[in-house]
Amino acid sequence: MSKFNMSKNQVSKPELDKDYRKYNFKEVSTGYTLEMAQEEASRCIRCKNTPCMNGCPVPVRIPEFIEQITLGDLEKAYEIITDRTNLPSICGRVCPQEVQCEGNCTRARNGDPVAIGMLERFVADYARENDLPLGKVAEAKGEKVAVVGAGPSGLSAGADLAKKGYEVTIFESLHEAGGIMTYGIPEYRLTKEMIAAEVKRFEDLGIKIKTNTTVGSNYSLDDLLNYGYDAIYLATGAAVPNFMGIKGENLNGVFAANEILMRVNLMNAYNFPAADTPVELGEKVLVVGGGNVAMDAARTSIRMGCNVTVTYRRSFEEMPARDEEVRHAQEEGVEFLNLYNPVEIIGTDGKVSRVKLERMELGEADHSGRRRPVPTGEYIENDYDSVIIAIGQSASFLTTEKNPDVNLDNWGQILINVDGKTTKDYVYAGGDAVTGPKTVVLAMKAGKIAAESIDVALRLKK
Amino acid sequence: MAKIVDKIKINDFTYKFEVLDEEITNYAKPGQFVMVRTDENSERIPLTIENIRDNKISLLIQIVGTSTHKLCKMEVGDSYLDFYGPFGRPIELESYANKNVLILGIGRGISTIPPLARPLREDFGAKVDVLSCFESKSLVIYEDELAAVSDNHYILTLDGTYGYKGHSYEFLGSLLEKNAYDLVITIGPASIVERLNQVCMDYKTKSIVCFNSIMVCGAGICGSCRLTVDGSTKFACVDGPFFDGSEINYEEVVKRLSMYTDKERDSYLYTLAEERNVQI
Repeated sequence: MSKFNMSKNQVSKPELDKDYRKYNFKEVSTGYTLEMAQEEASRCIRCKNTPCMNGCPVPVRIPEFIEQITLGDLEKAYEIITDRTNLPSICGRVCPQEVQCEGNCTRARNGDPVAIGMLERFVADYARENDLPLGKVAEAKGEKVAVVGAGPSGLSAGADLAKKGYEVTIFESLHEAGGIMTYGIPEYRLTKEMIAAEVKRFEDLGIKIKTNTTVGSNYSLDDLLNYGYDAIYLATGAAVPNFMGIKGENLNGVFAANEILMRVNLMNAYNFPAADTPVELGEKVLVVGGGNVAMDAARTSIRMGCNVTVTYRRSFEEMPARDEEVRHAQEEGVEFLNLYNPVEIIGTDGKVSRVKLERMELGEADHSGRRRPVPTGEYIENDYDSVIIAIGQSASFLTTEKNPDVNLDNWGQILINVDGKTTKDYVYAGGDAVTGPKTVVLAMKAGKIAAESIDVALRLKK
Repeated sequence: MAKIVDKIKINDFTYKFEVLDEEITNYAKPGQFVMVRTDENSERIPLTIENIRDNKISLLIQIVGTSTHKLCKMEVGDSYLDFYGPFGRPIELESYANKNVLILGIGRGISTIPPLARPLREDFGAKVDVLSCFESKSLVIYEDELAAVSDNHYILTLDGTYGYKGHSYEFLGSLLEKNAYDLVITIGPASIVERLNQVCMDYKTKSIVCFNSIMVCGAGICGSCRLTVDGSTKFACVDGPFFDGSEINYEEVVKRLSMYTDKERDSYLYTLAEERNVQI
């Protein structure tokens, strides 16, 4: 008998019932118990060539930490994970595992892949609940690094630098740390309580987080360098919502996904009037877009009691959102109107009443490898009370516009070299501010690269 | 932590606060605003920086709903939960050096007059006239303060109970008839600003306008303050709050500013009922 669990099926992932969860913001995926985690962990056959790691951007030593789960040494498992990632609770929950680690898993050739995300999350949750530190802090170097933006990239760079012994201050524009993990990703995917506990673990490394500070609006980068910071990491993200540029887009009832997510997640509008910030969606909501943000907006609207349709100009096949997000959305009653593209939003008395959509067909693959949507000239019109636009975001500019010596590309994203350095000395950048909207794990990776480069640059300076 | 060091009652529903904040005061420029929260439940709202002196920021706040009600209940010694900025793109006042400028404020819009008028006159040598417009005598505020920052201060009430009588746009027409202004800056409700801007256009006078936009983030993230300017979408928080009056789609702005009127009323009633421990 094999020492491994050769079941083709994953230990099923516990989730709140769809008819219960759509009326609240409780976390949908409730996580494995120790028994479940160990049973699932024993499905990993410890491939020598570690295809899972090849799929991981960071890359976490996956078979090693999974082995520790089977042995019951969760502290050791956590140590192995945090050798490569600073955000395991987050990555375990929101990484697109199906195209990364789990997508490469040998077990997936004949059955389900090992549920690596669930296992990572299990270990991370154990570590948080038992207050295991995020890492060891080296002896103080006496040098200071400023990080701009307390999202996944900034926190991650901050953690690596703090562990190396630098004095790190993270400047955050909003009143809470976490960036898109706080204002964007909804409570039912990442609870605020969890984010706050994770943020505290970063602070436990000695990192200072200064909220309510938009570098650029007040301090310039030169100010920071003059105030005694030896280097700066810009992790300002891509928070500026894109619009389609179609007629009727500024009618009342048309929102950027960011606005809905921010009102509901950050400002607790679901609790209005006990919370002062309102949200006004009406009954029928159309969400435009096929990415994770579109799914977040759709599932948030479901929880606000709306009838929700997502329209995407390609098909399910090309949809950039994670499979799990699409599945959860469908389970919760979100309708999909694929292969349609809004061409006009029609208002009555200044407010959305109808949307005109053009039917699309799939043509040849474009540069992204996905089949291109081709307009057909056939139109439909449906009634909606509001339209939420989730077609992507652009780099934030409040910091860079006041610091022209940090050069940008044609899309307003910060230009960096392979080390993560910008055109200004001792100023580094990474994450969505450089690449446009990507994933938490890629933002974290950029933070880790920059932390290494900053360390090298500051050691060479001496 | 931004702390209130002075609170002056202007009238029953308007207060002036002096807030000690050593960081924002170093960076704020005329016409910029701060984002403020009072408690965990409160909204993030923008407030014009009325003045800066000795590390102190002045705010003129009129109670119009839940957030301003909570703000005006704060007392000397209290600190804001969140107080940060400065946000907004300041007007380039230097291009109006030694020019003739009229600044016109309607109701609580007058709080934006002093931070523009003061530097225009004192730093750039402009001649600045101010027109402040109110419904009635009982609502007239800031008379001395506006007189102190202007060459001529005209007060207008709709019912004629104080100062000149009439509609702001009629009075603006008479001022533009008599004076050659290089610039008119208007701050007030969008529907009136639209008419005032039309008068400026009739007299071929450059017009800059500002509204009380609805904001959540104040930092270009949410898009709730967006408007159409010269055919393209702009955000009042990062591209404004001042715009060329001739380029605005006013119909849209008027609608947008009324979007949450019902919810704002519900919220205010709820807050007052909570405070008085009354069931609603």
